[in-house]
Amino acid sequence: MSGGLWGTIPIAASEAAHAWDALWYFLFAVCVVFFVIVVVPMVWFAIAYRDKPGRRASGPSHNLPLEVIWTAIPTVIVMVIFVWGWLVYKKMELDIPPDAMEVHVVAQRWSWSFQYDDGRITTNQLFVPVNKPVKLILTSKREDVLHSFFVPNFRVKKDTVPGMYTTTWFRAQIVGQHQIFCTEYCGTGHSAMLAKVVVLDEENWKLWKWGKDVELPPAIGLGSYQLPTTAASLDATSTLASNKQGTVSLSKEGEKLFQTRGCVACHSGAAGSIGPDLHGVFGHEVELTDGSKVLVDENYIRESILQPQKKVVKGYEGVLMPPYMGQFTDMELNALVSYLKELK
Amino acid sequence: MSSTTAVAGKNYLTDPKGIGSWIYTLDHKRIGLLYLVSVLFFFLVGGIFALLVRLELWSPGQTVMSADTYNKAFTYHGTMMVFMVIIPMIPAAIGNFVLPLMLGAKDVAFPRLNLLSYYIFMAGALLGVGTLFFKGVDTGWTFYTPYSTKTGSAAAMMVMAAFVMGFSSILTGLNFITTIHKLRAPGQGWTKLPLMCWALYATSLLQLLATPVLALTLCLMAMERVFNIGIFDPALGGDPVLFQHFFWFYSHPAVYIMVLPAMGVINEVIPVFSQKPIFGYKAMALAVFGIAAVAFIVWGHHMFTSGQSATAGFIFSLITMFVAIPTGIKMFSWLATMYKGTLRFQAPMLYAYAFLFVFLIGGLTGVVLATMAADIHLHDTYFVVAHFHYVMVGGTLMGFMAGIHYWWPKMFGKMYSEGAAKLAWFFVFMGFNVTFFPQFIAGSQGMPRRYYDYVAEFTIWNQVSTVGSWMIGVGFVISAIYLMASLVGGRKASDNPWQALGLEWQTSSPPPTENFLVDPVVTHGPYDYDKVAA
Repeated sequence: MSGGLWGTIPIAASEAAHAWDALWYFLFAVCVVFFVIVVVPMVWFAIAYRDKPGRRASGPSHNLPLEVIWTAIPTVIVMVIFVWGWLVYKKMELDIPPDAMEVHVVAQRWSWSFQYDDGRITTNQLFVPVNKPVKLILTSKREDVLHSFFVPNFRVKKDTVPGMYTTTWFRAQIVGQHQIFCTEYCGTGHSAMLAKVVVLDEENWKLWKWGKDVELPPAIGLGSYQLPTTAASLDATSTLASNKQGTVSLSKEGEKLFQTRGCVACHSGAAGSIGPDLHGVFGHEVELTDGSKVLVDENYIRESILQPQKKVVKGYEGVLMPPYMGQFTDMELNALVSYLKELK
Repeated sequence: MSSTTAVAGKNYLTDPKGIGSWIYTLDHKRIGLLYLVSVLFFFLVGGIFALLVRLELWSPGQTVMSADTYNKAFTYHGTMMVFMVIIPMIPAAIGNFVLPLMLGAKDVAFPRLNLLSYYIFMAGALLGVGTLFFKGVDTGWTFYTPYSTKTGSAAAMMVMAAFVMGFSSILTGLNFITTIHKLRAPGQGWTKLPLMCWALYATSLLQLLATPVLALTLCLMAMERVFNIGIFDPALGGDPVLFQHFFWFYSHPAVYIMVLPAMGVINEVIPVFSQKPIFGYKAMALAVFGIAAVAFIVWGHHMFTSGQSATAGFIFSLITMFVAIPTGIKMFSWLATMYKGTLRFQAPMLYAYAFLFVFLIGGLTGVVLATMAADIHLHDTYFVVAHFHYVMVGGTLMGFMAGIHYWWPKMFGKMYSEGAAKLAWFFVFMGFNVTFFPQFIAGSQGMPRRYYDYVAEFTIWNQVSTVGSWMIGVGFVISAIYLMASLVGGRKASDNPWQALGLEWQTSSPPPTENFLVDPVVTHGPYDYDKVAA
């Protein structure tokens, strides 16, 4: 299977990919038109105005109307391109459906880990249901480097940055395995940091959720007849997806950490608690000691665990929560974030 | 118009004599040639790395080298070509030679500073090449943190090299701006300034204002590596995306540092070889400053997928779109200059044509990449690699080749073989397109850049590309042969072989050490081909 424009783009296998393709065809057409507008005169002038004995150069050295035209028309065209590009970007990156299933992506040299809300973790295979929105919350391991999560068939790409969450989303439309590349240079194994998005139909998705073995669907488009060249890509090639972890959900795991690592001592929300009550804060703005406001999102929670003194909530000026930098793994942090999100 | 003739046998090449007179020379023409020789040497080395990279990519999996060696090969190709070749190639090498001549001046404003710039450049360059003896660098030319602060120690040395070379760039910029302001010949008002000088002026401004930010960034990076101060490394509480902001704040203007002088060369070549005034002189001069001004506020378009906020991306994408407007004005004005001219297709004009063709594709794909949504899929793929080679190589290198063929008779007083030049042009121009056009396709299909290994679907495009790289290689070998042959056995060049109106053509070929025996007075514009017989 191959994509549009004589196979020069990958197959469009997600909702946003179709919007992207429409924009791409427009951009392609604009490029072709301007290419012709410049190259045809180049060739024509080279033939018609070649220096011959007796011919003298003539022609204008300026022409205001012409100069206005070739300033104004391109301006209009690039503005159309810009607006269209923004609208598609908004659809691809920002308009994340609120009911989207969340998956945490943790990148490290040179593999991908996926952490699901039911507590399961898979490596180099991201399992998702077809036609359902999936929100990815991505990061690199703290001691690691930048990576970038790229699924050509979905037109999805997002850098993973150590110490920070980035987000993107997609709604897969074609059942099958879709190639994942790393697109931010990360050293020796950069080009071997391969993985697959495994899009399952509704029935198989239920089976997989129940912890049953499911047969892997066929590879779609790019990478379909590629041989694994390194160990990093090997476990993506087993024909059966078998993963029976996940007896405890991600947020439950977070709750457990919250209890056992001592968070609850100050953040229980009971009267007289030392730290701020964390019930229902996610998604809301809080006021800081300097009077500015900050939205409590994944990144703020993470930062407040690792470096609590960076942005202190108003009213807690003198309270010195110790920094937890280096005391939680990235996966544990994801679990805590997931728990605090659900703490209503 | 005063015409001057040098005393027979005395010119800047032969007088004074001796190796010391070259090493300590304050003559801008000799310093230009020192740069030229150095830059061409680094071009050779960077080119060999390019051929190695292309050879490795002939087939998936290991072809001729290990992944680590490959990572070093593309890093050296990139860093050498950017910092040691493309940036100094036109301003420092050609610009040093022609700028004072075009202004009717005896030299640049600060000749000693000029020589110092050269030696600072060489010190930085040797430091950069020296990293090869300390296990080499594998960061890519962008030195992204935290990778660059975690990899081997040679990376710090390479960063230091870029830091040192930056100072050379700053000093040259300062020198050129002062020269243009202070040393123009009587009668050469701002509207009679050749567009090459306008382009060098805009370039110098960028060098002066943007390069210190690079120096600052590289300093911070060194402090992080040496003293463990957390600035970019998240493990120390730093922010790796901050590095990208700093880096591109310099490196995006740097892209225009590379291409504006090439536009300047094309501005000279097209009117001469059309025997027509340049179309829209004022718009042309304004356009380079328009591009230079916008250059400072578009850096974030390198970071649409980096995690920078959508609002920032929105603004950067919007502003980037405006780069297309002055660029388009220049493109159309070049065409209009040729309209009804008398076109002569000697080597400089052939390279100007190559520039127009290649830069057109580079520019159009630039608009594609500036489009936020489109860039999400294309970012860090071979589409980007193809795009910036079309701009930087297609633009700067074609501009350089046009310039070197145009001013060669002035530099050395010798004509090269026109037939050999045409043959080499064919290989360079065709080879370039064969190498880089397939990379657009591989990229839009999804092949990421800096990949040592790739999925089998990309094999065909990589093989075509590798064949193209050999064609480019052949083209440059032919160029090197006929250019060197011209120095030994070339026909003597007349003072003004192309019937050009620029001041540099009114002195002898090669010029005397003091450039003009009689101080020139400017009575007409540099492109008044409709009024004055050259």
